[in-house]
Amino acid sequence: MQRLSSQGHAAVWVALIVLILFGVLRYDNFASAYNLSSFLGYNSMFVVISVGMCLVIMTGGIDLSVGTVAALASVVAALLSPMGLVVALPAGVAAGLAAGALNAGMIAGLRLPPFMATLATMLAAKGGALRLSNNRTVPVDWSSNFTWLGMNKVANLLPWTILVVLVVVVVAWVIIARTSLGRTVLAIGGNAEAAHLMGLKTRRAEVFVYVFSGGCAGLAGVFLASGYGAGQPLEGAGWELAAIAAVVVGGTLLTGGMGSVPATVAGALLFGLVFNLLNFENGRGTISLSANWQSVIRGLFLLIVILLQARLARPAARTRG
Amino acid sequence: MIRRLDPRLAGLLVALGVLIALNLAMTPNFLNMQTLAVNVSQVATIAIVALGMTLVIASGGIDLSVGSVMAVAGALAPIIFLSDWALANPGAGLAASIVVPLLVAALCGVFNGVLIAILGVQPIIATLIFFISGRGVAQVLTNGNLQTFTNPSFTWLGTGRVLSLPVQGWIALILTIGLALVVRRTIYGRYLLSVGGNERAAVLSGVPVARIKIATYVIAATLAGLAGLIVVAINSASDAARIGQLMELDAIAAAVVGGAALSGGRAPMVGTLLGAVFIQLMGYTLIANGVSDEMTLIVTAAIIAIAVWLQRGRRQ
Amino acid sequence: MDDPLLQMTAITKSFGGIPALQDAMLTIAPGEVHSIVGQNGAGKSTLIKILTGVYRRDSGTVCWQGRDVDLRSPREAQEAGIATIYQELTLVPQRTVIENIVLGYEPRTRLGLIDWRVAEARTRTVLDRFGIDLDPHRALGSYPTAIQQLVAIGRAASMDAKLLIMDEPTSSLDEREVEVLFGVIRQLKAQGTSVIYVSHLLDEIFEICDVVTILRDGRTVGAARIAELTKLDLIAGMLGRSAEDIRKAGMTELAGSPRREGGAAVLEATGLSTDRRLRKLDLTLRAGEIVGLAGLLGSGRTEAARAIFGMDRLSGGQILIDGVPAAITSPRAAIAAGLAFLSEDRKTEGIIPDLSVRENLTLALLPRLSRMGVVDTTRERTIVAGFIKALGIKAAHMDQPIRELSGGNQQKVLLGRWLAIEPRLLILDEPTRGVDVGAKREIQAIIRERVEQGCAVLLISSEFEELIEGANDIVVMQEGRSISRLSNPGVTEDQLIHAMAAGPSAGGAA
Repeated sequence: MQRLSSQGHAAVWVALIVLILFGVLRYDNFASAYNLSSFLGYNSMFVVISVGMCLVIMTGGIDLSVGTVAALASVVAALLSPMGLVVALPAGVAAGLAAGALNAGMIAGLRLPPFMATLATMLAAKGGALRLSNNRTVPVDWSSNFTWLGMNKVANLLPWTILVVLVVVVVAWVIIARTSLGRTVLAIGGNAEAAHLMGLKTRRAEVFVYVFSGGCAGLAGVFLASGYGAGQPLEGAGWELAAIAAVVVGGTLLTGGMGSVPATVAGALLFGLVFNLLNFENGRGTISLSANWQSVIRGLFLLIVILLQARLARPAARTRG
Repeated sequence: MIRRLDPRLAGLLVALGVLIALNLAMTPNFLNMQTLAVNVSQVATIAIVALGMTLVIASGGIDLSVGSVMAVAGALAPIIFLSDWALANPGAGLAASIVVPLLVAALCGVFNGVLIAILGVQPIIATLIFFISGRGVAQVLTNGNLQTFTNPSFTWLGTGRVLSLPVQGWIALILTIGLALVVRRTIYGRYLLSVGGNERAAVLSGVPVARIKIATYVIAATLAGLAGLIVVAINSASDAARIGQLMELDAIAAAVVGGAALSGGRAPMVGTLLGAVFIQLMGYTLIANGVSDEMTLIVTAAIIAIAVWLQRGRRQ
Repeated sequence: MDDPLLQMTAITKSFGGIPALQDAMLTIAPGEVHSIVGQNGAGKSTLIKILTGVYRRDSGTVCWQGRDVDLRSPREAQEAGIATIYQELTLVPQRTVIENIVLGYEPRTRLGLIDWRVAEARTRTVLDRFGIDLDPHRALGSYPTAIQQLVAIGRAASMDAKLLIMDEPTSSLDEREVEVLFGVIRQLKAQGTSVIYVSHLLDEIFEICDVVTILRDGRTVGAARIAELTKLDLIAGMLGRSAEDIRKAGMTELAGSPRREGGAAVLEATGLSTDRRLRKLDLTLRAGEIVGLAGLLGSGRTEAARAIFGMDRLSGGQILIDGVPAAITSPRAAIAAGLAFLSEDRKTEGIIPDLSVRENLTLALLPRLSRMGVVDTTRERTIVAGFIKALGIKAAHMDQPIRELSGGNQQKVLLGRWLAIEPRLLILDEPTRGVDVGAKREIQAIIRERVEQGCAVLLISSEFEELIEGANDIVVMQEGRSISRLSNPGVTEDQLIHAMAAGPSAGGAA
């Protein structure tokens, strides 16, 4: 089993590197500052919610609310944008944390199945977002410093959003690898009964992952508003499934108990990269893939990954009798 | 068949009764045909998909691809009956434009079923594939264009009336009764409930688990295909980007409120229909009485959470 | 004894009105290896779980290190100095060996983060102590069960506990590993740590334990020093028998009618082996005869049944049905060949909880009850009504959900499921377990009836009377192989017990 998981994780990095090389060699502007920064800027949102999702999946659960919670947070942040980043940023994240707490309450407290509980939160968050925004996009206050976060880059290359995400990734990584909270997260997904019998603080860990995931979604919402100039209550549809796909492609199993935060980041970037490369190929004129083909290809991609994982898992499954 | 009225079903009927009473009292025009027709129309498509979803949930799985399958079927139909061949053979063309999309939908179900039952992929991941790409396929087929058309024989499916109620309402009703009978009276139905109820015991008793699961996903996908055709018929237009958006969640919600247990083993078909009606009616009640769209979503969310919680309570 | 480490007195515990412990007692001295023995359902596991904080007792006292305590969670028990290795593996297979060993007690650096280097060093110490050589960075689940079990033991042993509880610790270990384990237990004893050793393997108990407490039907019926007992005394205590009892009691309904000899062989199994424990088992099952499988828990009886029924893949051996080799690759194939299997675990492998009595009973019969996919409910109801009467199933009506029935009645429904398909070979795994006396006899009578009609039966039972009075032949199993065969008429309980207590070298082997 160990072999499978590290193989699964290694595979995504290899794929990422291969695709990057392919892009560099084939397209002129691929390695440009512009492409890099816009790619990272756009994908920073998906990376951060994928990290949150990764932690939830490690416990064997799932969080379907991340997309609409991000939308909600974007609206909250946009509404508070006149007060500047110092208010709007924490407010957006707080909206996410609140949604996460709601999930944690239902799942760790009322023991509702994560699928249904986060489904309910997803609907509620959408409702909340529409309510707060009065059913329309909320333009941000351009005169405040709010958009600075989403629109600026370091050395014209690395958007600030991706740097913030990097911090989140490192924090998540350290928590999982080096704290007992993180080990408990993994233990729950592996064998919840055993974790309890071993005296681990399982409830605390469960609450943590859902609140954390909510916070990540909140952060993504702030990026959305800050980077695109508006709080968008209807955005976020399908984001949760993109995050799940990134986690799965990164080699983390939905059954929980194992996984890798960095590999999930690679998975999210990989999906984004496929998009990016298709755009370039379109630009070259060799193919003319409309935007519609993009999702077909993403789906095919996921299928291939799943089939590969199913094959790798087969030998292990047989001996388990 | 109604020998033992499930307390859950009874509770739902009561809640429904209360809602209807409230509406009779408070909402103007509640009982007029137009309102009824609109409501039936909206519920019918969700209910049809939800029926299939209930079967899948009963088998212990889930199907996220239904919305995309709707889109594919809905895209194919106009392509077929607007083709030269169909224009030259209108009868056959019409038939093909119904049968072929359903067949394609069924194939999607085979795909899901094989991944899940034979390759052992988890249902949520396996059906995720079509969720992501199905709509794209539909858009490719239509070149991303909105297709509008006038074809009265086809649109009858969505706009026709029988006894003053929309055709699709009757279809949903007939399907509910039919599937309820299938679940209760056929060997497939028994096998389905045993697979979801206790798969190990089912295997030991000689149940052909893989076949049952595949059949179930095929049924769900075909029903989704049918719903897609109906939506296209209602609108006389096929918008691949829009058909069936978020339908999977509506369907799951209707099933759960109707009494399906996510762990499998229960397939309350009538419950699902009532669940869909309940959610629809709740939404209608709120909107007709001035509550905003957004609040409706929040209320729906609360209903789902409560329904699931009540289910757990009874399980212990 | 002065100052016992642990004293549990008058412990009672019920689950949903059914008593699991009625008057259990346990006294353990420091530095003592103490064994708890008893049959299934005697209450050993419940008593342990009360001690380790998983359950809370209904009444009685637990006195730990001289003070009355109420341990309300596994964490509290661990902090009090009680470490446990449960029978079901309670580690996390997806995580590495190192992580499993230190889980919950990870060493920290000055910054408060986990110090994996120290964790690895600690792991190596534990592994060395057990003489295990492996890469601790690999997932625990990638190692065989035996290693996983040793790791579990190593984890518990490294936790500086005053009391270490081991539940069936050697079930996957080979001789060498068992010796290593015993060496560690002796070390612990020398340090003053006590060990509770729960096992069905009497040889081990006699080798390593100092004192034994015997539980039966939720009560402590005796405690003694091992040195003062013989194996027979122990078994007798577990079963609650004396010589008189044997003679007077337990006529089952399986006795009586003359048994047919020399019926045609329905199924012959030769050299059956599976990856899970079964080693070269031979069995011949004839029409109209009962073959009994005897043995203590863990002897491989259920594995034999599963292998024949197509649930486990054979790694060796062959099955002939009516003299022709048959490839029974799945339960479905087995059923088609005329086999039936009543599992010992009705909860996980038997009942479909939400379905009715009727639906559960006819589950395996459905193909024969349907025409063109539709079930003939009229015929179904007639058949079910017949079985309800014949088996004495107590249910409000046949559409009652099976989960509302008592265990005994559920068992009858499941038996009905298999009888309904009129099998040629009926494999029964503990068919009367958890069933009240009246129902027991009814079930036995039905089995007898079927046998007289020509059915072959493979009966796995821990109830000696059933085997002695019912079986034509009894195969005694231990550790996956048959160690002796006894033939009726004339088998006595003494003989059977002797055969079970003996090792593989005694008696007629396969």
